[in-house]
Amino acid sequence: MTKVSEVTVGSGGAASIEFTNIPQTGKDLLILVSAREVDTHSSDFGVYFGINSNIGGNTRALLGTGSAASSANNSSFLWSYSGNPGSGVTLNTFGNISAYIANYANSGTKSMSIDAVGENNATAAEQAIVAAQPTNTAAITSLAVWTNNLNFVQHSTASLYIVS
Amino acid sequence: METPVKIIVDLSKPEGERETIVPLTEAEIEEREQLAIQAAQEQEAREAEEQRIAALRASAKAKLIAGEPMTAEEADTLLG
Repeated sequence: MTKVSEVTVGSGGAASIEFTNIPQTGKDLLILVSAREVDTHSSDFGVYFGINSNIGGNTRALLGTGSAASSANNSSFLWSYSGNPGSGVTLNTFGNISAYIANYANSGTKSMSIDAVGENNATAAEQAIVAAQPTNTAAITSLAVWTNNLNFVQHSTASLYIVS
Repeated sequence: METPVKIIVDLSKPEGERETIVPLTEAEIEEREQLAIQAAQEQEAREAEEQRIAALRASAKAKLIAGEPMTAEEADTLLG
């Protein structure tokens, strides 16, 4: 596994991080995200994934809070459900997300698995396990993560790895 | 309010020259706002359903202990 790039959001924040012209030299992709968002209405949300600038896809999620568990599905867009705390979460607490995409350099349907934890230095914290299928079936040359509500805060990071 | 930006990392370029910061277009901002609304509605619905199931489970447990008949939906929450 080779780390291709790591990006840290600067003082002004950023709405998304996009890796373009991804080398087609590996088998699978792994992206790790440490994030917190500027969000005035929620405690924890997910991030969206753009595959070749297309966020369309299906997701099936198992979610848990420590006191309750539920499942969810979405057929409109690729997202992590959790792992991106907003202003309702303890100050300076960041969530963590990993997303693994198999067979990225070939065309055809791809499987995507996502683990997300919405860290919170308090009693409530959510985690999600997500199985996803991107709508876009072309070889993946660009991969983006978006916030739910426009900006990742400073010090959020995204790291891209290629698995050979 | 400042226009939100995106960080683009062009991996075809040498390290140190890869990152550019570009303002979002109006269309991109609108698209993300719509996504945020949709995701928030989905999360609210999911949380409401979780609360409804928790209430059903509590009611079923109380009826089971008291030896009272429960509804089919309450029984389903106990049987998984």
